[in-house]
Amino acid sequence: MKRHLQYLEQAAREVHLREDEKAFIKQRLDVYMQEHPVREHRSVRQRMYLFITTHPMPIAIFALALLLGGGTSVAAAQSLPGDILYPVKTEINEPVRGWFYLDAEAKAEFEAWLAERRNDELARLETRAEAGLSSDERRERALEARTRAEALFETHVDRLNLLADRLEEEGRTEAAARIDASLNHVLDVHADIRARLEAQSDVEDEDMDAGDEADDEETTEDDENGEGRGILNRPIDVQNRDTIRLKLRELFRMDNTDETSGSTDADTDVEADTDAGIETDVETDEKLEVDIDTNNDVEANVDINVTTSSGLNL
Amino acid sequence: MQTTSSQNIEAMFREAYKNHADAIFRHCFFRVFDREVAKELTQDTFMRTWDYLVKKSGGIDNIRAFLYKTATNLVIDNRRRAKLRHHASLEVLQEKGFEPVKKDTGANVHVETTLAVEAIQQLKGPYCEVLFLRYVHGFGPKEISDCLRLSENTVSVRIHRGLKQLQKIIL
Repeated sequence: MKRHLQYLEQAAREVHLREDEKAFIKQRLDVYMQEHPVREHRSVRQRMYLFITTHPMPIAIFALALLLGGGTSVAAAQSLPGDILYPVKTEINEPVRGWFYLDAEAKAEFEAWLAERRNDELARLETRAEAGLSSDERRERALEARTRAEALFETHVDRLNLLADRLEEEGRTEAAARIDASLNHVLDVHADIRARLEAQSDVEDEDMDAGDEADDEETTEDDENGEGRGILNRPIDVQNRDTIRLKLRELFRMDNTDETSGSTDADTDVEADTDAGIETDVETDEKLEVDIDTNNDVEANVDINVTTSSGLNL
Repeated sequence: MQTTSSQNIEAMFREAYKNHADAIFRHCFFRVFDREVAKELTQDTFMRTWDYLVKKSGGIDNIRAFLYKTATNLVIDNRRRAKLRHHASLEVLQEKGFEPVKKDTGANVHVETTLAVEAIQQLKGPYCEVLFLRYVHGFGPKEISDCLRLSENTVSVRIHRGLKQLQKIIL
């Protein structure tokens, strides 16, 4: 058997590729190698490092955007109506969160939660209002904020009603009942908050009226002392009759019927029908006639101080 | 522009082709007994090895072992595809052009060599493998163990048992 194997070894040595065959295969391998070149293999960490070092600016911008976006979103969660970030809260944060509620009942619960959130915001507005509103501008802003929150609350209530109806149509009466209960609860809370806000608003109005009266008294005292400058005597750059009329019309906010007496001495005849508080300053050297007619319960206080020698009929 | 490491890989691959192309061809030839198929398998073996180098972008510890292992796998795949009988008769192989040894070396040598090939083919897979590597390629147990990723002891045992079985077949 050894002999057999020796012969086999000898025979095997004679089995080999011819030179031309070897060259042909080599040629084909060269082509294959060119088509499939070696690429530098890098680990994930190396690739990340390379990407960061070669693209620093886009990464910095992305990181900043992420930081600011996330921070803004978090900060917006605590915002109140009238705040700069409040639209982020109601137009972005809450709708995005709502995308994750697919079922009608889950959506309804989310809407109920939003309605409660609006109630909470209104209550916080009330607290903030108590801190004191020193100017009309701030008062106006508070009113706008309140209106905004109430409008959103109404939207949530409408959606809740629709979802409750849908649940009933689907035969999910228990879920619909739960939603109704939630709805009633948020409406009750809302009514309480609203009542408190209105009461607070009335108190502020009274305070303001009292402040006005005090101002009036002060003015009268000044007049009596001969030191005051009457409201008609305060300097306004109004020099002719037409301008005076326009000014009065605007300030009186009236559905006016403006009648000119037609007198040759250029009288100004104004009829005002309004319940608004009116204060106007006019300076003129012409004859001025002002008629104020009120038919409601509001007391018409008219203080006109004249420091001119020309004719004035009141 | 290719880096130094990729140039190293290319150089290593070319060197491997230069040193092992004949051996791989022989390895394939003594299994498929078809020169053209053996050439194709040799080429495929080197292409697969190149692919591996490209993918890993690194060297191979024992490129000869890797080449033999790849060639063996390709032969097995080829057999499955072609449904080639593993134990093809020597007559059929000779009809296909199989001439393990030149006829002019003497009738006695020719007969005994073909008998040996036929006998090894009849052995079970593991014994056939080690005996071919031992007597066709002339590898020692250490080289065979590297190629087949077996321990040297296992290789020696397989050679011993394979020879015993071969003896029964030939004698």
